[in-house]
Amino acid sequence: MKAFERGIEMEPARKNFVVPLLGYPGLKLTKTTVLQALTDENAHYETVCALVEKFKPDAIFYIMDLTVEAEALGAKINFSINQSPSVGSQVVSSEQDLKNLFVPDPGKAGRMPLFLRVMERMKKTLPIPRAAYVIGPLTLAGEIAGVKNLMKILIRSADYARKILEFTTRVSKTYAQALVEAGADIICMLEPTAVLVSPRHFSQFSKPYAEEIAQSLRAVTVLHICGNTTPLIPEMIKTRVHGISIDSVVDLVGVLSQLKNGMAVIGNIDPMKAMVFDSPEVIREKVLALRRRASAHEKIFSALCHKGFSPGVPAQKSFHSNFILSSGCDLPPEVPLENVAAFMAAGRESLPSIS
Amino acid sequence: MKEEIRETILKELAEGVIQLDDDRVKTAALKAIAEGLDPLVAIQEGLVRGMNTVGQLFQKGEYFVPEVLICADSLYAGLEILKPHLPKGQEIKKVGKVLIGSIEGDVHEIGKSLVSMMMDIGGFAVTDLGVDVPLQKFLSAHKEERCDIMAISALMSTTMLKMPEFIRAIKKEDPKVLVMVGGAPISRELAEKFGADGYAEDAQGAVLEGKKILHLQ
Repeated sequence: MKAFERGIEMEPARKNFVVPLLGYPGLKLTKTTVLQALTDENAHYETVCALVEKFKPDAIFYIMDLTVEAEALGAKINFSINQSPSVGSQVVSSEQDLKNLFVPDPGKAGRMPLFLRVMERMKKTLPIPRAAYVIGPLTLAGEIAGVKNLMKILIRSADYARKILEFTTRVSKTYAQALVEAGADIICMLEPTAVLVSPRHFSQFSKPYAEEIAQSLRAVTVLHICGNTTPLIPEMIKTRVHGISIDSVVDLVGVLSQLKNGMAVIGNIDPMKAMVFDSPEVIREKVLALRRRASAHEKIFSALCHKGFSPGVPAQKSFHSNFILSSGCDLPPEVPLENVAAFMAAGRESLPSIS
Repeated sequence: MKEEIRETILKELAEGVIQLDDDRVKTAALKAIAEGLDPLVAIQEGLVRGMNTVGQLFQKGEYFVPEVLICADSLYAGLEILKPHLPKGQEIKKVGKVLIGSIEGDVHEIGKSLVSMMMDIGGFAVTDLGVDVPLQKFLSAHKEERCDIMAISALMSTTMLKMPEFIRAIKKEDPKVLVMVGGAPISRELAEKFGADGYAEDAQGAVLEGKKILHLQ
């Protein structure tokens, strides 16, 4: 009887979220270049709005840029008109360099104010949860100390590594808190450099710091790592974020079965092989196939009913799957708009019940 | 020299590399010189054999990038001691010439450097053009060096999409040169679509693939 009651209670509001990592494909909608969108508040904001209007996702990320924090710390950034920017100089070559660095003020440093203003405007006008990116502690450490150097430092001088990570954690935490104050409902930590290290190193040099950042935020938190993170999944789960975002090479069903209660997995249609090169019909098939495989393992729960995920809906009345359909990684500008439309439509299609 | 001593030295060289222990490698390399062990044998059957095991451990997911980099440092520490003792004219035989770089617009270094290093250790003569390498730089380097293989890396999906254009231009310039591609967003299927001759998922795979497309294996 009890189960039956729970069943009928859950059915009406059950929802499968569809949240692709949009951003760059929106540049076509506003005829904007990557450079404009990442350096001009209006161009960025209008692109995000155009994406929401056109595709109606369940949450919207602003446009990804992995250089904002490093730039605020004084690194030289290489911009180009149609490619994502990259970090072009190393600001930390010694412990002394590290000591000379200060946590930047998000209201003043580099382009952090631009992203904060974009978020403030998103909060004012967009009716869906707003999501921001910040860089993960290990990845920022690699950007300021050089990835190759950092990899060796992890083995040769763990104490120094920890000092760098304590600093980068403060940087990302301060910036993330400012983004939440500006209106971000979801903070997604981008930690791609973690895919290079062993689960043991991850547990020492990324997990505790990512966890500290996540725990300091009054927002839904997501951890995204690109590439094959299969060996890292158990440790990623221990960061206690609300959602683990996985790339297309990881078996999503395998992750679903490892998730702790209240956690979601976000993924993982191939952003290149499928989204750039396949036809809308093939994308539909791939999305439906993923949803079918996930449906046997997903759980319905209400723990993700943070204000961000259910605007205006009382938490106890809303139930969600712990599988959030998305792309495996950020979608590149070359993704045809009709492919995004096919992805969204296939995400919304009702699946024939497998039982 | 007693077979037993020779075997011990070679094992120490290999194990030192595998165990990330440059002191152990240096000690063994000095012992090799003192005992009169052929430096070429010490390099190939000691250091390089150790690094091959490291490559396998990396492929199996037991070693990750930090471990491989430290293992390579240990190998190079041994090479530094052994190389000056190679008799004149007796050089490490190279199996082919490789030009390698991350594609224009892409500043990701680590994957490219790992491939560059493993191919160097694996017997190729490698010229590393670095990151953010424009097409012209690949072409003019080839004019000077006449390589057998051009290896191009891309870590970002946006930069990866330049590969077909690069491959077409390289083949137009010299139809004989073989092009290998790699990087996280790339798969064998995409590599073939782009017109590449070779693809590898990781650095150890790149050594084997390079030898395969040159018909050495």
